Amino acid sequence: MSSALTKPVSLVRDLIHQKSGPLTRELIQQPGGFGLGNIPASARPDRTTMMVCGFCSTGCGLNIHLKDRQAIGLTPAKNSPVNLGMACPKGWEALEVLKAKDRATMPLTRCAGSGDLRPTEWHIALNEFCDRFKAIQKEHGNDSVAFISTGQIVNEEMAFLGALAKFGMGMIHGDGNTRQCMATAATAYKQSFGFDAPPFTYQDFEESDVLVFVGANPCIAHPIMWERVMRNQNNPEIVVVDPRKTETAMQSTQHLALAPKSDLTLFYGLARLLIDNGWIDREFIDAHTTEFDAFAEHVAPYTLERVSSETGISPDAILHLAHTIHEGKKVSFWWTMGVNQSYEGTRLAQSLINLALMTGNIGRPGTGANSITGQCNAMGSRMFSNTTGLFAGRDFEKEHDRKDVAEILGIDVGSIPQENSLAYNEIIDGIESGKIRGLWVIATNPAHSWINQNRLKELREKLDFLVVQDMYSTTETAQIADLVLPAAAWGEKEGTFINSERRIGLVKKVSAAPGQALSDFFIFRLIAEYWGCGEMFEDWGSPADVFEIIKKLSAGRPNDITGITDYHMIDEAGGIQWPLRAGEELKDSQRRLFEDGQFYHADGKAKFYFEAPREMPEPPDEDYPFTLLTGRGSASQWHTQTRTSKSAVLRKLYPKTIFAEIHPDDANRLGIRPEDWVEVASRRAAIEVKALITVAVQPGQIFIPMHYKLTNQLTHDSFDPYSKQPSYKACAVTIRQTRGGSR
Amino acid sequence: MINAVLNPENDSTIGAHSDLLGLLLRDQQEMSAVERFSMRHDEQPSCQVQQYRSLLPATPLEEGEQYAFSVDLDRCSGCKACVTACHNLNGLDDHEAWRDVGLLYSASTELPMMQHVTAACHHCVNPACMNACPTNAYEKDPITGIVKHLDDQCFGCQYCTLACPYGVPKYHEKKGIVRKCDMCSQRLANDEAPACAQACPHEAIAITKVSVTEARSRATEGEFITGAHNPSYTTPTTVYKSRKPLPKNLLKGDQHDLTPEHAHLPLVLMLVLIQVSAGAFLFLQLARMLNPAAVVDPMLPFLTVGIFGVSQLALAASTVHLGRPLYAFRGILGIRHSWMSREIAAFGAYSAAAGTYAASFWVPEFLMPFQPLFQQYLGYAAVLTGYIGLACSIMIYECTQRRFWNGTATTMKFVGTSLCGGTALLMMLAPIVALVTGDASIREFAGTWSGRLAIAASALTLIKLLTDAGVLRHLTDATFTSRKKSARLILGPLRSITTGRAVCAALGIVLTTTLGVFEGSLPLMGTAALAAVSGSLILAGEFAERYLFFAAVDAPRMPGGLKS
Repeated sequence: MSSALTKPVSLVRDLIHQKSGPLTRELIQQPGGFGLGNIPASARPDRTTMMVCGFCSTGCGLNIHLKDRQAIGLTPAKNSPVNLGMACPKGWEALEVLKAKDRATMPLTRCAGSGDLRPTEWHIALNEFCDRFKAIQKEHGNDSVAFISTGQIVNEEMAFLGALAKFGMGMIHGDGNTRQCMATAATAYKQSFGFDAPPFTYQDFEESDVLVFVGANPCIAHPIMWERVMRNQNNPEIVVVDPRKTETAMQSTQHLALAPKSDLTLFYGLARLLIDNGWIDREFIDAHTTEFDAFAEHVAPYTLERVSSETGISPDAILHLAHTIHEGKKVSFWWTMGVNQSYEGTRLAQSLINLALMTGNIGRPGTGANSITGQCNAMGSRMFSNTTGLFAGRDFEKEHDRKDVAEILGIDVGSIPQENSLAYNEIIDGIESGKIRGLWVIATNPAHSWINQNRLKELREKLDFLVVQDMYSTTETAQIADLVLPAAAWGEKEGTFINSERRIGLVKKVSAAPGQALSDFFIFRLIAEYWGCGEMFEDWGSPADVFEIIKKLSAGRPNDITGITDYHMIDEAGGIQWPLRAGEELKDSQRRLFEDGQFYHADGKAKFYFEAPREMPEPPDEDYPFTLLTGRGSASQWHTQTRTSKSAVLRKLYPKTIFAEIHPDDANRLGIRPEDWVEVASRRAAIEVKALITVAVQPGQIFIPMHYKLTNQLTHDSFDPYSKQPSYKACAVTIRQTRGGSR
Repeated sequence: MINAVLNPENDSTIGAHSDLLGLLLRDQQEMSAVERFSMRHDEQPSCQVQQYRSLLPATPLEEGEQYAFSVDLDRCSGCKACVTACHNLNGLDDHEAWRDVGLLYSASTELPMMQHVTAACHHCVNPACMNACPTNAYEKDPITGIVKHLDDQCFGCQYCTLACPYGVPKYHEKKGIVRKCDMCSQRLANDEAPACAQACPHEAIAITKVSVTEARSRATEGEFITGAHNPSYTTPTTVYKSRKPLPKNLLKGDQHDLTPEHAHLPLVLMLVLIQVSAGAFLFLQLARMLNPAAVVDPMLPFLTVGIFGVSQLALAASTVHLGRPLYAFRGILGIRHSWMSREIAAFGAYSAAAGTYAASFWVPEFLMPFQPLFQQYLGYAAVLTGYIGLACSIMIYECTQRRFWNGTATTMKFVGTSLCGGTALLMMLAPIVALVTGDASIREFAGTWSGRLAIAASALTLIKLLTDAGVLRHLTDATFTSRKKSARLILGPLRSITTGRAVCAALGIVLTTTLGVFEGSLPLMGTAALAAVSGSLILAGEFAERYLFFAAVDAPRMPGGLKS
């Protein structure tokens, strides 16, 4: 064929059968370089960098693909000791949600006339912030302004906020949304071990031969931790204690679907069985614990019959579990919100700690009483937020601690409050009683997430001034604020998070913040300046500066991180677990605590804590015969959905409409068919949900995921007396079919 | 202080504050920070490729084998990372992903269970998408067995989206084409595992080799996964493994979901109009046979043009349906396997026959010798090609194996539309033609004829309405059958269309009966008006019926997620 003909011939051939062309080229891939496999040719990076994910506490490393200094994509980091090249859907979509149209790009102030939120200048917003809070403090006292912070911002920002609010602005009360997720674990550890110290490392998931999950659904809530369980080569026994048949329960070898809130009884019963059979580690108990004998006495009345009848679990199943724990060489206990979010959560967490202690399952690979944390920096908020506790696990009420901190920070000890802060729920009570008149909410969404939500909404009217600092201007809480400060998000700023296994990971600025959004760190710097306490923070110029301050604050404490030289060291290691003391060499990327049997109480011993179980604060009764369980719905949803609802792909992966799981027996009795609309009412509110008829729940129970904004209208505001954590998981409700069912 | 806010320059401290503010606003946009931390592994070989090699077959394919996805259900925890990885690593748009994860769950107390099911394209041995495609935009790789879609060849008819029983090919509205999973062929070529397989934290997804013969025998035995369509239709190759066999009575996450399917409005118009035109030609031909006095003949030049016009409207609508109408000419390439190509060819011939037929009356006789003979044959040709096309249309839908579209039901609908709509169209056209031409004998005949057609249209519409309603008897099915779902859709979310369908048909029947009975006492103008109104109602009823045909179908899919 002559070359003159080739072109027209191929043109005709393409018209008839075109194997390639512009549409095909849109999906062409190329090797990405930088250790990546193929990636879309249009998204080939010119460099990559690893940083820690900003959703949950797993703390996965994400390899960010950069082009012209901006993030253009990501892949889960293969060299991270946490996730080994994997991520859950949220992680994969972490950059996508930064691009949402409803990002806050300018400060917004509520217009006096129309009542709308209108854009304003930073300068005006900062003055309004200072003037109005100062005016409230002048009239009602310094402690009449409080703040509610978060587990979602970096340590450096938390530390800045805590120091600014309490030492600079004179506030007394400030707490974080971590009260909603981790307070129980923190309190339990503090009492039992002498310090808030989760002892494990993720490698333990792989090394155990018995894993007991209590009130935890890692398949959905922590898929990457479940990855580690799936890598376990010991053919482990996987025990799930949960009223629901969850994904994790499906994967278990033993599922104890106990009656809601009967768990404390179950674990006391187990303890008795272990003691009665001599299946305990007497040597360890004697050498490393106190109060065991009192504990043994306490659990004596928990006979198998009693426990079986109160939990609804057969004696055989309980015996089998006791036997499993006894047989196990490396037994680990893991818990999440099913334990923490309970009115007796602290004692419940301690009942698991007790089991680990009495069987010597602590301080060795594959063991431990291990709290799986919720938010990406929940542990940072426990360690360095200076909210309800003074920096690095110290106490505001202890003069020695105050002096310590004053010295390290170079501030007047008189500027440090001498009383501990009110907890979140007490701040809410304070609003109701008129004690708290001004509130500053940072990176959290209480109007959606707080228990018995309607009460909180009513309290809005009692606040003279509500400031919300968030990356979105559309959160339920931002919408009711007087002033909204636009914050840069994860990925638009620098700092560090601490994950569930105490690993400090680095967050980097890989994306430009939209409009005039500023990092929380910069916002705090500006507020310090506008408030007039800028000099106090002269050394707090950058996150790296504050990291140095945090290191100093940690010196000599159990969570000592003075051995971390700087961000570069964290980056190189892919995250470093605390403690790492100055001069100590970082030898291992999987380290656990208590290998020497030394705990943090003055006597070096761990202590058994126990208490008789109490009745549910709101048990089901004649009028409200069902127990409402709440929890995570899917791996694609994060908390109040301010971020995850912004990704089109994530939205595909979870049900759009709020729904309730109902047992077929109950559904039949009430004439409820699949997909019917039903009303679920508690003493506090009535909401409409779609019915999902499934045997995942037991008769008399219904389950509604927490991500839908209506859910917390139903929940009952009761709290653990020690941790003050809300008891989200169980309240009494009634259900009925509405509007003829389907529509 | 208020003053200071209004006049910042009056306050010296504000000036200092502004400096800091400006500095921080600039600093926030400064993007150099990350360079300090960027990774230093530019020269490293691709560890991603190496890390996931275990997810690929260790040995090359042998004769009679092809690649397939293998899914270990026991390792799938339902996190759905595979979906987001597919979306991201393939550079797909918005919510586009070629893998999805559904749910099977139990409502039986004896066996509480829940199983997430991840699925992408099953790279079938006998791909329905490929057989259906009128443009040959699908290829099954002769070596790997991967079913590839040629994006540049596709003209966006979406027939593959109806033909695939697993909902795999997805229409991309903005691009006007379908796109689908190609098992990450470009990655496989590099010895790299597909995106979904790489991304599964639990290594539940892998690529495996399957013997085509074994795949066939598994499909014949109906062995695939609970909740999916009978595999004997396409012989899917994905292997779902589990140590605990899934009970058959599991519910799909979207089992009770009553979201209507896409109604494809251009296809609604196209099908109804082309069937009506074919029916009109049929009755015209019948009228000519039954009335040898040739009273019909003077009206033929106008009637044929009118009916031809309707058929052309139908074809225009069908072109609008295409995502890339400029490539409409590719539609007949698949004639050896695609009923859509055959339909296009048949309706093309129909269009030619009907067009020539209509034109023949307007061509001077000297240009067309034996004109009446030609016209006789052209009339038959139009009817014949029209109904061949209609038969092809039936096959298009019958082939999808959707119960609501089965051959009998679809034939009743399509033929029914052509009969009741065809009579209605002639009933409408005849008096108008008579009014236009003005000839007294025509006027008289047209009136009477329209009246008789009205009686026929009335009866046929009634029969059609009743046969259409037949699906509703499935409401009493003991289990949630496919046609029960259609019936519930018709009376549930689609009830406004259903009401419209019934009301239009009922009014049409009443008015045509009225016309039939009282035609004799009506002036021609009255007949024309009444015919126009009642005929339009009947046609409107048929449009609504066809809307329901598309929207109320239960499309076989892989088990879906909870829709709520």
